[in-house]
Formats: sequence, structure tokens, C-alpha cells
Amino acid sequence: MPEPNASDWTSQLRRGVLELCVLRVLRDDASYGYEIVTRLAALGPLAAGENTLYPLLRRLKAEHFLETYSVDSPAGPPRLYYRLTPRGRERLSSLQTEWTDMARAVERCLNDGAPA
Amino acid sequence: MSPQEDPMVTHYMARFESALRRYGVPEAQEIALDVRSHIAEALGYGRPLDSVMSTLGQPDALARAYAVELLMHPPKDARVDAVMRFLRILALVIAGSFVSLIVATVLGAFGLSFLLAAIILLMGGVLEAFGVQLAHVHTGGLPPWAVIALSPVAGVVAWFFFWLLWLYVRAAARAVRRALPSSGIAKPAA
Repeated sequence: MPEPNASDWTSQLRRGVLELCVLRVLRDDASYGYEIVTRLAALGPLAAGENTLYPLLRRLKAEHFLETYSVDSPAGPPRLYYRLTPRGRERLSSLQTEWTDMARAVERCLNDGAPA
Repeated sequence: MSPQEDPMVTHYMARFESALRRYGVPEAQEIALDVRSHIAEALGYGRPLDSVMSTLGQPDALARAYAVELLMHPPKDARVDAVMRFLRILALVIAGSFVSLIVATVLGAFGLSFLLAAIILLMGGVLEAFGVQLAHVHTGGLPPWAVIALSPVAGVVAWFFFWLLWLYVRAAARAVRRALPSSGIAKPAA
């Protein structure tokens, strides 16, 4: 069986936190797919491929965490803007709490090796 | 011919939309619009067409990614979620009220009784040591030092009951916090 490498691990980790980051990106302002992709790409390890991010946006919409509206774009087809719903804000808040707890626990584990 | 009408884009979108239909992905038209809009935006920002198309990946792989995300994680109904949460809070209030009434009364009563006993034992013992006998207080012939020594024992027992009560209140507060919908204001990272 091939041994999973570090980049597999990073991509698994990114998959898990991407939902939280997308919700956070949309917390203050609505945005469209390309802008979300480029904003996350600027954050290095969080740069997710279009084939990860766009399907995730659709799922978050299907789960009523996001809603869409279209605006005419000078570039061509209308831009589909995504914005948070009240349910999406709740989700962001709960994921943020989970993440803070998890990050704190991992940091403690890395520092002390989780003493018995 | 606009870049979005490039044969490469047209061919890609035809294969992509056909794959979406094959996988039974819902809202295929809107998804196709999202991808078209992405291509147009990227070209508008000056990215070369080849690079835009290659980062999208193969049309079938992209459609499969949508299928995995949308069909393997079927969205939960928001209304069912809301009803479930309401029922959970209702159950917590009903069960929690009864349990809290009993637990708080019992632990509080024991704690207070032992605390009062500790105070009375201390006062009674000290007064007795100075020869003052309180009316209605009988120490059963114990010497004053023994009565004073019993006071911290009663105090420790009182502290134990108050500690149990505090543990209960903390656990109950945590259960309520978990059941209540969040305020929408994210907890700041400490």
C-alpha cells in the first residue's frame, strides 16, 4: 500500500477547514466564486483548487448556509454572488468555536505530548 | 469571437454539462453558469485560457467533484433541524427543571445545614470553654475542645456539598449553552 505523503495530509486538513474559511470570507460581504478562489489563494496553504471550492459553495448553498443572487458582469455571463444566511452565521459561529478548541488542544499536544 | 466562445471552452462546457447530467447532479444549469462565470472572470483578469482550463481539471473530474459534494452529503432540511433543536431545548427545560429542583434543594440544604452546624459548634464550643452555657444547646457531655474540633469537620462536609452543587450548575450551564442556538457572534479566540 503506498504511504500517504505530506501533501495528502495537507489536502485532507484543508478540506476540513475550507468550509469554515469560506463562511468567514463571506461573513462581512457577499462575494462571487472567482473572488473567493483568489482571496483564499492569497492565504498560501488554504489555496483550494476550483474543483474543490466550487462544489463546496454549491453544497453550502444546498444546506441553506449560503444564498445566491446574480449581478450583470462586464466580463461576460452574470456573476453569481454568494452571501451568508442567518443559518450560515450560526454555522460559522459554531465551527469557529470548534476550531478554536481543536487548535488549542493540538497546540497543547504538540507542546506537552498530552501528558497522562 | 469572445474568449468564452472559444472552441476549447465550448467543448469543455458541453462535456462538463453532459457529465453533470450523467451523475444526476441537481441544479446543473446554475452550476454550469458558475463555471462559465469563473472562466470569464479569470480571462477578464488577464489569465491565459490554457491556464484557466487546466486549473479547472478534466470536465468529468469536475462534475464528479460536484456529485461527491452534493450527492454524498445530502443537505439536511433546515426546518427539521429547527424542530429538532426546539424539541431538544423543550426536553432539556422539562427534565432539567425537575432534576435541578431536586439536586439543588438536596445539595443546597445539606450544604447549608452543615455550614450552620459548623458555625454553631464553633460558637457553642468557644462559649462553653468560657463557661457560658447556651440555652437549648446540648453538647452531650463533650468537652469544649472536642466541640470546637468538630466544627471544621462539619465545615468540610458543607464545602463538599457546595462543591457538588457547583459541579452540577456548571454541567447544567454547559448543557444549556450547547442546546441554545448560537448568537451569531463568534467566540473570540483566546
